[in-house]
Amino acid sequence: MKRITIRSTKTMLAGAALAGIVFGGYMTKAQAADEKGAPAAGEKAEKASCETHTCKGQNSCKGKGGCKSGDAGCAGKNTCKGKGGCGVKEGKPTHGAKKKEKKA
Amino acid sequence: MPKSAQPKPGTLREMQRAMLDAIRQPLRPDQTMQRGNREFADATIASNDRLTSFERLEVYNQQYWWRLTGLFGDDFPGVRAVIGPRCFDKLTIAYLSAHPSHSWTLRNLGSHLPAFLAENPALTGRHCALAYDVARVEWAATLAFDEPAREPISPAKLAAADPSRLRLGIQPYLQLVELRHPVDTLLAKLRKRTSETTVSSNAAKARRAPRPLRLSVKPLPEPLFLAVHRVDNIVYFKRIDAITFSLVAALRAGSTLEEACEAAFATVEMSAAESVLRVRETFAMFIKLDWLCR
Repeated sequence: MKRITIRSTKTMLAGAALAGIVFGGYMTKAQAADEKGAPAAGEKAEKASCETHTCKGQNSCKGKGGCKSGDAGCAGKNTCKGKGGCGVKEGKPTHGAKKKEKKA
Repeated sequence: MPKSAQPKPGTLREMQRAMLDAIRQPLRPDQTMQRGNREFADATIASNDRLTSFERLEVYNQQYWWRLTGLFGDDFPGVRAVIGPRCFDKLTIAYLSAHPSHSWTLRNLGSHLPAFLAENPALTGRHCALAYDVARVEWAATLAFDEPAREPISPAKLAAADPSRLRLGIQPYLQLVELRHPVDTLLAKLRKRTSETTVSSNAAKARRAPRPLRLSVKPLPEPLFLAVHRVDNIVYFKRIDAITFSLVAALRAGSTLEEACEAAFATVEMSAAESVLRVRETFAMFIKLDWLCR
């Protein structure tokens, strides 16, 4: 009997998880965009030294969100690390100028 | 290089190794190279009309340390604020001596710091527990920014899936940290104070360096579960509950959806209705934040 209860609870919870996934997916894009920002996403963790800078060759652009290299965002793709594509100045990526690579 | 200064044939690798060792030797307190490198420099490096052999090698030695210490400080401002700049400088030298850069990217420079702090509590003294927590969160923030994002799952396609067999991936950039201190609020305070200091010193055009920021915080009575993740290339700290933490950890470890739910609620005293509501809301949130992937 206990086995049946545990089994049914597991199934019920997993079913609810699946329902949550499907429900989350049916939200409109606009709703998702609104709720993706704080506080749903939490508190921003960006570093204070990132306000206006050129971060080529440095780690100071992490979390700034301006780390895009031309046609491809480099966050998580490792495309700009060490390639000098990680430039941000006044909130916009700066590219073109060759600077020192971030290599040891 | 003059022929007389060249090492014996066949020892190029040895010379390279010796040069690397020389470059990796910490600088003296006055930021000059260790005197012990003079013999190697004289034997291997030619002098010119401006610099001696020693000075030429010293350029590399200084650049190596200045670059690494600068970047290390950029990655761990919270640890610096907790233990103080003098202690942080000592920690930096000890850490980088034990864990020099082995990667093509300096992103990985601080990867061993949390473990290093745990193994060497004397380096952070009475701040060791807090410094350990802060280092873990700052390293997690580095990973959250830079780890890849996989294609999020397509919820509609899962509607008919069997939860007892369904395994879901967790985005590589999502990092989970269990903490004893409220590091998220501490780092927010640091950010705010750094920003204020920068603005006020710019306005006053102060010539003196601002006083180093020092921060402290008391331990929490209960563990704090923190998700460090990113949305639109911005890193966020999100406090989560133990159930969410457990669900993500179980899914990441390869559990099925059913197994993950079972593990997360195994020790929770909650009514069935409440549990169902909680798990549904939690997974809806995972979808909104794109935490689930293939």
